[in-house]
Amino acid sequence: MSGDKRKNPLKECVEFIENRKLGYSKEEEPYSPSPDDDVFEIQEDKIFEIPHCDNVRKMGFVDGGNGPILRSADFNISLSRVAGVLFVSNEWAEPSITPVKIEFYSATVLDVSDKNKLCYITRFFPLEDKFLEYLPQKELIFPINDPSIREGGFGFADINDFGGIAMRFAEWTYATKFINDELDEESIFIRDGSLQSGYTNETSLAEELYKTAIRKRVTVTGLSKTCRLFTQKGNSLNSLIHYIGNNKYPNSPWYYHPIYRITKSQESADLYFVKLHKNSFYSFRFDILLDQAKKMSDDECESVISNLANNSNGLSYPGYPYGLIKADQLAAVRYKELEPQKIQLLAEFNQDDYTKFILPRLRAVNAHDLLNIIRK
Amino acid sequence: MPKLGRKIGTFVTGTSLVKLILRQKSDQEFELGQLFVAGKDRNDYSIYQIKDLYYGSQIPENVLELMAGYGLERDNSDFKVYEPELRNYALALARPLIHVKGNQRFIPKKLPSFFSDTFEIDDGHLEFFKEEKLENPLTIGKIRSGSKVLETEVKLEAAQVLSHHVLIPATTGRGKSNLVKTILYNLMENEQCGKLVFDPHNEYYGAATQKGLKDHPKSLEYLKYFTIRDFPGKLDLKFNFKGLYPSHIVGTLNFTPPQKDALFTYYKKYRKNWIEKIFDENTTTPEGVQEVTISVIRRKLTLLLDVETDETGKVVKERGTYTLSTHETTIDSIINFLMEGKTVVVDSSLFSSSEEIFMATIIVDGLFKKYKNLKYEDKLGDKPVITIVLEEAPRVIGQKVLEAGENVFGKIAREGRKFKIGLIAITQLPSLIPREILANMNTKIILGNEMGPERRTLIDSSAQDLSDDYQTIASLDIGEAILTSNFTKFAIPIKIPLFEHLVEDKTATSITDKKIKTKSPGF
Repeated sequence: MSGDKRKNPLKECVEFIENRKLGYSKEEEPYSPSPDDDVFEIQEDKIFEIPHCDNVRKMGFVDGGNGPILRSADFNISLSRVAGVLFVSNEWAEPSITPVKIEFYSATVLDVSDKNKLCYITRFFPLEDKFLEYLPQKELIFPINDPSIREGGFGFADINDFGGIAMRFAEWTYATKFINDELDEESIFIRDGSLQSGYTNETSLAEELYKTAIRKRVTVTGLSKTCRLFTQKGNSLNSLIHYIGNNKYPNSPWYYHPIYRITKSQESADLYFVKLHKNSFYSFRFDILLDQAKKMSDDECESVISNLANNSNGLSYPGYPYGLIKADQLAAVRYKELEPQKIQLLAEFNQDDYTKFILPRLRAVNAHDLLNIIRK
Repeated sequence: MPKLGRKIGTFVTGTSLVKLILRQKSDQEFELGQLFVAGKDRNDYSIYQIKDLYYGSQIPENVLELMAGYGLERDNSDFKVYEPELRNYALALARPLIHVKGNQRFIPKKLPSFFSDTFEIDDGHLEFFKEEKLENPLTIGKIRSGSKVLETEVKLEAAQVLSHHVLIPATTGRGKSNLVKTILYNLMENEQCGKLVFDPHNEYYGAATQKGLKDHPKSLEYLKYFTIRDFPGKLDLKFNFKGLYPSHIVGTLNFTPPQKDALFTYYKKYRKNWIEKIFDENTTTPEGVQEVTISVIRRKLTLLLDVETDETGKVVKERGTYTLSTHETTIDSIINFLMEGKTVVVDSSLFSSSEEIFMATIIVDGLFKKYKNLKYEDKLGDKPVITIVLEEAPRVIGQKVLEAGENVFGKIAREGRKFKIGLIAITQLPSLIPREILANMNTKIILGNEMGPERRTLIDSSAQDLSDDYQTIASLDIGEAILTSNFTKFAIPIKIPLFEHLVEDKTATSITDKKIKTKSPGF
């Protein structure tokens, strides 16, 4: 062994980051994997102050939540919730027709389909009959080798992810009804997350929503809490724009546009980056449906953003729309409520069948949980 | 089905039957000590009381702190709290006091159902207080819900309550005197109760500028005022030496065992003239008593009885309350007044504390002996209960005092109820009274007290479980009280009326009564 003292590995780690991530280069633009997307060079003159909201518009927010009740290697049962929040004159209002939230179980099995192919089959089971019309009308079927569900690096999807997939599908169907029944001309629909619809058959549901919104002249948008887009030089796109925006308008809310127009069928959006309150520590990616954005004037787009900012002055989380906070609260499935559901569910199985056929399937994936318990 | 009233909150959860948690409706303001009801309807409900209050929020604590920071450190003009009525609210800790079903009352034993609504209490929920017909009522005050006073009056059976002793603990300025005056005023015409009041501040009878018991419309008939002051209608507060016993003196001054023996020897030999003989130097000193012992006793008695003697020991001047020649019937008069159910106020405000105790001992000892004899003669049954109002009660029933030697007040505190005599003991420091006596005081009217050990003493010795009223007792405002008694189903929060208002109301009623009477001959 050499007598040289080795540096503290943590320090080495920090140095590695510092050497590459302290500062931004001047000429950057978003990295796009698709040549069809429009990307724009990042420049300070694309940052604008968000004006005061003069025309307060009706807004609808939708979010979903889910949690697994029973996990196994070849089947899964999850509880999901989708909630809608309506704001009229920037105050919460009771939806007139749509339930504030819908709840359902989703059960997924890995099985051979009618076409003799191995598939993931997911079926919806609403907690109340009246929720049925807000859910996808058919079961979801994904062939085992469907590229949209494949996990990176692995051959197959994790069956326990299908609770979340079912929730996404239900978000589109519920939101379509919500737009149709609760929103009207000039209203703004805000989805939690981007407008991406990547799973097989998801796009058709998203398109159904877009059609409804366009017919009713409702603007479709999405606000993402997290953004994994980056620049061609490998920097986080959001953090770069946050840095530039705050330099230009340190004491005001601002937005950045244009930066990136995604033109894929499963994601068609004109992207903005927005800081919605002067005291916010965050800026977010904000999507406007591309077909609508193209037809909107700059003032109209600004009006949409100023309405969103107007809803983002909640003292509990300045800079994030209160409508999305409330939708998240209503839709959240908490760990505490899953355990009693699990007990209820297990009680529904025939005891002998459970011991023979279900328990071994649960054990195929719960050994890690046992290890965690022992570790404690 | 009759509704229970105006909705003010909803039960949320609870850690036990006596620690229920409810959420306040946003347009309400819960108060410590507030009463409320929950149940099926007006024939089947429970009464609850709020024991503590705290904040509830759907927003995590660190976010709340941040929100406060925005308000403090930033221009907050464009901030908004969305749905404040849903997200931030008050929670209350409550316990059930009583369950009412039809015309029956029970100690609560069941949890309210989840999310059951709670309603504001009103006098309709307290009808059962009015339904109880009492032969001999003692009105204490009105039921209080937090700081709101209801119309329902709290009445107890006077003879029962007074013979089982009453403790009135409070610090200065919380309304002790007002409460005692109110009780005495309400009892004035009650001939089933004799009231003996030792008044060290001369505040109960009243004066030209101060309302007192004398302002009762029937005071001429029912009120007797003994004082050494010159006051119209007063009775002389003077006692003849012959009414004194060695036990009175031993209980007041400190004597050595030989001195005590000498006192009892003189009494044994000379009976009613024993004090006169002690002062008279010509009296032969009894066998076994030292001359020097008698000299010391003479000196002590001279000071206690406030007399002057000449060189032979003969009393030549009586400067105070005690006399050799007259007033042989003062004690009997007081006892007779009491046995007629009257109120006797003894003004001791011009005496020192030991003089006051001495005088009180003389009167109470006489009374106790009288009632004891009546009991043995089986003639006590139709006699009124006597209640004795004692200020600064630990002076006569305090732990240290009783350890030094038994006195008549200690005897009454322990066994008075057998002989229909009870105490109304007033004190700032109940912790100085022995536990056994405190436990014997079956009714306590607890006024505000911020001294922790005193509150703990009261909670430990109360008739009902007041374990979660520690803060409430400290927060009781002037005239607010908690009535805890073996004769009530639960500890009742009450408001004592202001004595001056009581007098005005009574006087007005009395005038109206008179007008009606003048008309009656015409029928």
